[in-house]
Amino acid sequence: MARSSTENMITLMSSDGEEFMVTEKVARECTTIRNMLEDDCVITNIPLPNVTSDILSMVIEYCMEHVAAAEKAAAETAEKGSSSAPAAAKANKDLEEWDKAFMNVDVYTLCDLILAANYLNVSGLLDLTIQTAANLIKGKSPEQIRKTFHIQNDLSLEEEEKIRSQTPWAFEKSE
Amino acid sequence: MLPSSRRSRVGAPSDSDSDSDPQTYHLPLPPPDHNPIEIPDQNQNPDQDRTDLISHLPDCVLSTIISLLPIRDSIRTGILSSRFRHLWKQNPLHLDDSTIPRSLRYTTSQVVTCIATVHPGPIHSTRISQFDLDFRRKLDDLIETFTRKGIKELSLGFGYKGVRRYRLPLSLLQCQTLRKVSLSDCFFPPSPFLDSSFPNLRELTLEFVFLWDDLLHCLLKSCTHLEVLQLMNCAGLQYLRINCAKLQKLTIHEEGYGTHAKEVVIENAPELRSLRLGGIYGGVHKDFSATCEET
Repeated sequence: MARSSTENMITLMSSDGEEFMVTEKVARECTTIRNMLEDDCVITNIPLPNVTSDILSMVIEYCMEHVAAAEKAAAETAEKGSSSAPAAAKANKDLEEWDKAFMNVDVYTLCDLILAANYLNVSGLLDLTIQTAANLIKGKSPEQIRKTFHIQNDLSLEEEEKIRSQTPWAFEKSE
Repeated sequence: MLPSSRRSRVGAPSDSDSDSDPQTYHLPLPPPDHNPIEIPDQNQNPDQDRTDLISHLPDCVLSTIISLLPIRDSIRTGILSSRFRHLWKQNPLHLDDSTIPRSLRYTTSQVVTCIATVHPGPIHSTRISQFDLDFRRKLDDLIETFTRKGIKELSLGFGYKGVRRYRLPLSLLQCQTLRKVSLSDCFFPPSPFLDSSFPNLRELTLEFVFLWDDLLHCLLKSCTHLEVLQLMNCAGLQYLRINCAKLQKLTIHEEGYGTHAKEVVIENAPELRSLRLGGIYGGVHKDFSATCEET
């Protein structure tokens, strides 16, 4: 990604002390950081004490890809006067493919990404990760979901029976 | 370009020393349940159960995930653990009975009634299209439950297109929360009961609902916030007078069922922007539409 030398750079520091230098434009993808920059425009260092370096690098990777895609679309629109519908559709599809490949992670990384996206308020990433988590639940039995997410079942048999009896049709085996 | 390998570092390392830099901004820490989660080291404890990470997500995030599931899946999350037990009930209910999987032992009517009873509300929107009209009394009770739980949007239909119609209960007409209503195969109680019906309604669609002039005039008088009115194949109208201060869009479509509206007069509808009258009369397709410019 081409980076203009005049562009303001911001350093993000992960919980384990790693520093990541990003353009202000990329940092602004995080609404939490954008709000901060709007309050005080001379900030250059931002510690993020509850995002690890692994997860922060992924969040930045996501933001960079989406900023680059938006810049490319804007440049094409400026060049041709108006963006051609097939080109825009292809660019959208490419970005969707990228998102899909980006979501090829284990459930631990997924949960950490959800937490980070929620904390940094990256709405696109939050929507993407939450939809991915929902897809992992959809159509599965409670036992399968517990296994996928390593959920400890702390309900007693009586409590389970009570929940089942409230909406018995939802727990029928036959579909 | 596809995502690079997970371990790769994005962005260049910075040289600045953040400890001494006056431009460092300290982000406020989120509430305790956002604290970083320790992932057990797999190499050290290969046999140990890994942490239940999803249960550490904040309630608002978990209930958003559950809100994306079909209704049956969302209810089933209630049995995962005590953390999940009530989460599905925290989302406003959107219920569409055509999405409920067929059950061997329960009718769709029973399932809908069960969900509406167990969910504490608010019930945001409901679409009923599979209810068995043999149980009218049960439908009355169900609609009473919807109105008690603050329903905003209701679509009600039975698909008979014949003589069987559902008489709308007063509890529905008097519901204060309804914003959007679509009714098919129903009929209204007599005009005297229509005073102050649908007091906050914005959109009304009636299809195969038997109407008469007086009744529609009463309805319009009472729905003071109505913006959109669509009458589709509603036999019985003859000389319509439209008086509706907020009405923006009016559609009347008839396809040869019963009598037709002979005259539609817009008496007082200062906000009206779109008027569409259409249908098939004596085998001839007639269509009239107009878009009103601001005057």
